[in-house]
Amino acid sequence: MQEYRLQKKLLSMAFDSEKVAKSKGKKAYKFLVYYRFFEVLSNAYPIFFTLVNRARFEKIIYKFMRYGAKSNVMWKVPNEFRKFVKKQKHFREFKFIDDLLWFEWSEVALMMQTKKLQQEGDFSWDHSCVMSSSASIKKLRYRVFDAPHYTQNGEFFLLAYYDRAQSRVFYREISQLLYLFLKILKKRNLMEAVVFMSEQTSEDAVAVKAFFEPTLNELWSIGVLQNLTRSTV
Amino acid sequence: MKNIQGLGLGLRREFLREVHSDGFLPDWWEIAPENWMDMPFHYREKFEEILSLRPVVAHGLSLSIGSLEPVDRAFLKKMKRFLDGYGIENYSDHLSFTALNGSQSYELLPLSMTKKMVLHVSDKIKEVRDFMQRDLILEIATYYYVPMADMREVDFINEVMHQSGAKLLLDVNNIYVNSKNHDFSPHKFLQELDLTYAAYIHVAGHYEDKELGLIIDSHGTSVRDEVWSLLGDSLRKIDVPVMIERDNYVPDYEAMHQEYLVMQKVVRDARV
Repeated sequence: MQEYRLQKKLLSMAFDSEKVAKSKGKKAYKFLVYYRFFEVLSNAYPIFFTLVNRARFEKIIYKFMRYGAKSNVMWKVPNEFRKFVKKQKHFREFKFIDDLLWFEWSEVALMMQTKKLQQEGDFSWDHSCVMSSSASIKKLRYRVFDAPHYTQNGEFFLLAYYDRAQSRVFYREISQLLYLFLKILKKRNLMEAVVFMSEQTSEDAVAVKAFFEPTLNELWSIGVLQNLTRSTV
Repeated sequence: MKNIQGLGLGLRREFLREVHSDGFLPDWWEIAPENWMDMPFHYREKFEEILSLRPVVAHGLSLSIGSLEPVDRAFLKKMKRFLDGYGIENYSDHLSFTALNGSQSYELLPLSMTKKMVLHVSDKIKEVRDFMQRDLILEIATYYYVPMADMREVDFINEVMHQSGAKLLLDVNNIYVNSKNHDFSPHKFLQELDLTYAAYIHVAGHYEDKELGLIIDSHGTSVRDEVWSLLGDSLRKIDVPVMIERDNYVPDYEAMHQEYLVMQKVVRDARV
């Protein structure tokens, strides 16, 4: 069908920087489509955008458009782009690129969390405690959260969370122990996490509880932790 | 349209903090459902409060009714869940395509104006209407070139409405922009358009791209005098709800209120 071929041709022209738009109308679409991607990606990845020059940024956008953005909603496009860069091994000369894109994307992802938290009371070891969907932890190989030290290599444990009172995402470097504890909490309950940490540290459960309790209290109060039975959509 | 009368405004996230029940409120809101369906919880309470104050029309961006492939059922399901959840009865999108073979462009791309396209689009419209259990309202889109045509634009639109039973979203800014870019009379176009299908009207801003030699439908400026004039012309032919669409360089809510007052005057003068 000719109409189908023409649709395919228009997209192929719009997604390829090498293909010249022959009419002013096609030029307009080439610009408009590119600009949609440019706007959402440069807004989501401001650090990445300043790291690579404009020409390379333009080039990777065209490659990504040809690869294909699938989501019906634009706010998810940066995450598709992040996965594309990782899967297709782009920008490998920036060894910190995957960490950096995760760091920048996490702000959007946490801002867009749809689940509402209804916290009642204080933290208790009796709670069915889980990490809230408004928080995320990540082990990083580069210090991407601390500009301009992106290239500093090491082992960094990061907690990111959406702060309801201040309506913004905060990042905090945490200890490896807390990272491990929160990681376990993603799959197991509080007491199982205590037992696991007890095995890891050769401390008894009472000591593990005493060590983590002040931190867990604070994480509970800022909504990083939530009681599973109290969470609502 | 069901429960929609008078003058509307597009609800933007930027306005959430500025809209209050005891302040200025349009007669109705238009929302882009794709921008609200994955709503962060910190917006939801205010969004629901605003929705409770005035009726709403959902104006979609991603239906891609004109792409030559089957309807995206997963997308429709998500859309229906959102519309049903908020009790939104009126659903519109664009007579254009945005995606093909699973790749999104996020831009409203032009359709071939052919008899085959009329058939294809009409079939898809019927499928969407059946699935969504509501009328589908389609906006006359801007186009900067015509991929292929065996009929005039006005005949293409009339034919799609006639064959599919879809309602028409008369975007007078788009008609103005198209008339300038493709050198036809917008008034004659309005004369020939079958306005019995019209559900509501959009007005919006545009700019002239001197480098391209085209008028671009940007939704990023105030409505121009020539578009207000065409709105007046339209309202002397039909009496349907009207709204201002603003998607880029969105000013504060008070500035939109001022533009709303201009729209109110244009509408009042036209209906005298």
